[in-house]
Amino acid sequence: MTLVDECAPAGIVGTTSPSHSASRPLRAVLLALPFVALAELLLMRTFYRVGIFIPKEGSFETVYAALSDVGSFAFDLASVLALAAFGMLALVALRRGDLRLGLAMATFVISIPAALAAGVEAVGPVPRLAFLLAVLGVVLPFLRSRADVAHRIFVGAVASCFVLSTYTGIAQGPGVNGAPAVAGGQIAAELLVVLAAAIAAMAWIRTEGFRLGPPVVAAPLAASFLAAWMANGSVTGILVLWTVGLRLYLAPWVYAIALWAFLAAAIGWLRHWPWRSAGLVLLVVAGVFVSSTYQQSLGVLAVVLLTDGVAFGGLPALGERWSRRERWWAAGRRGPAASATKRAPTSASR
Amino acid sequence: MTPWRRRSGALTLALASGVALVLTLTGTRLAASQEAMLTARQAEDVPARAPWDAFWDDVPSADLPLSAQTVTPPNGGRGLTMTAHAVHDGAAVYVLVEWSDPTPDRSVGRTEDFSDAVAVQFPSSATTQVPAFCMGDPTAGVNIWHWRAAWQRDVARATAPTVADRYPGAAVDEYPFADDPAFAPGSALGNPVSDPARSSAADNLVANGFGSLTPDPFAEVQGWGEWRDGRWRVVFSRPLEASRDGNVELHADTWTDVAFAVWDGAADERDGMKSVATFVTLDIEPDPLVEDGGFGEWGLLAVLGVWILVAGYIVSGLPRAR
Repeated sequence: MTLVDECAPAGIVGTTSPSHSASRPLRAVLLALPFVALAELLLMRTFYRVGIFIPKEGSFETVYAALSDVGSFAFDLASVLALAAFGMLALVALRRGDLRLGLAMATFVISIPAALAAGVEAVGPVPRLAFLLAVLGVVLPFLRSRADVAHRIFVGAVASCFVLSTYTGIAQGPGVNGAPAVAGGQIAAELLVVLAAAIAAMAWIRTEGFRLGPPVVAAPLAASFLAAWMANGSVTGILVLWTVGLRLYLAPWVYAIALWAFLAAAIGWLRHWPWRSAGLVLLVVAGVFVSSTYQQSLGVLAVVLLTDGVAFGGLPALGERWSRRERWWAAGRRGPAASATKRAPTSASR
Repeated sequence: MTPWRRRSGALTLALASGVALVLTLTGTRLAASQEAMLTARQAEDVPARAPWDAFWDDVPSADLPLSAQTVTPPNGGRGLTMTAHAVHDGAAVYVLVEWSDPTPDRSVGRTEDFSDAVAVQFPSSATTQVPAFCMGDPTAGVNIWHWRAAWQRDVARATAPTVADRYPGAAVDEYPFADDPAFAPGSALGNPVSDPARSSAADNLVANGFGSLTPDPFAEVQGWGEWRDGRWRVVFSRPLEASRDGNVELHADTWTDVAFAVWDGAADERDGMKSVATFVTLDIEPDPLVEDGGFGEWGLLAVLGVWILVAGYIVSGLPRAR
């Protein structure tokens, strides 16, 4: 059994595929994960910490405690969902006969309880290396494919960023002394984030064609970052650090443009490539310097979605409901004739 | 299709939610953090006033990136790399900070002079969470050790600078009120910045957010630096236990967080105009300092070797996607 057998080909969301037991749980987990992870980001990493600055009295104290508990639950749920997705993907790889990819995924899954039981210091760099192995296992088949060049460069930039963060993480970890170019690696990783955002927008335009809607919708969101920066740089800077881990080495307007490009890609891909949009969401939640097994698992799942699941033979189809929505979009843009059987081209076919 | 298959997605989410609820209620986390770490092992005869002693070369270190302080006005600073070492002798902890600075600035004698400086920041022991690295939070304070090159010069010569120090060729007919505290309001009011008889080149400070920085004079907080070949090295020291409100309590076999900030006087940096590094973990271990102790280079090399073999095996057999 493989996802190829059971699901639509990579990226095709408008087709109905046979519903099988293995793809439905994976689809449910992968669909829920971006929302739950985003809730964790907003409630646990952001609201909980911002609330520190707000006097907590009366009903606000109750609301604050309740939302903080929801954030904590969201973190736990996202951790469980990420592990479940990992387990299912490892199973898919093994059932496809792809022992090596299954091994790469399983190694990372096993490293999590090992690190929890023995302590991070005892296991040393093992979780980080297992994370990198899983990233390579997912990304390399995609980079070798004939997918759109910009798309592959984007995924390559994301993977390079993870390589740098893994190196700097290990170099600053227990037992390592005097490793070279640690700070340079961190700064380079942050530069790659900015570049990757621009390349993501390029990949979206190349795979779908330019539409004005996504950049227009993304513009006020990106502008709000600049406005927030100018209104209160202190809070904005801390929030950026707490959420996505960026140190903001570069000028704020550079990040605003990168955010604009990133959001345009995320919104633009939502119509025909919703898994890629979900991957971009997971990428944000994973952050730049993936320093916990939770963030690492989200990072790997992000690249699984951004590569259209090529390493696993595709991603689960989103079903008839999404298909109807896509036809409605197509009808609105091109008239009824276009609504018949709109199929987004796979990046691999280009 | 069986009902189980039809509802397998919803059932999976329900099961995951149940597991997550148990984790939340029991306070169990399913994730292991691997933040950057600075390890302090135990050693004897730590050369606290000899930053360039060969002793420090064998002390575990961590390279940390500093970035411009862009969080609150006045912004300032720059991106550079600093190296931190930490060690303890069972009674006191020593933190050495090294960074590049082409010119040593040791004077604050004129209004346009600013001193090179460096600060080490810890969460106050009263906090139950890591505070914001920029001066802490209202409910999560920080303890800061702040060394200034200008203070060290005062301590070294045991007097405060005078006009004659700064302008040796200046001629003054008469200062009729030279000893009148009304003409030296800073020192008259006990402002530690104007203290003419300081005993340490490092100030002990506490803060609970922007604008709340407060001196907490504690002579046991010491700092000593030396500029050599375009680099500053400064050693901070303090007894492990302080027993003071708002200060950090340290013990062997425990850990805390530590952040750093650097000021370049030549670039007119002072106050919030500084280069900052975020919190990293400071692990204070009871184990003695040995040249190749701990997980060590050999352990790391062994793990990397195994990883390369496994990665090679996996990568070599990955399918070529179409």
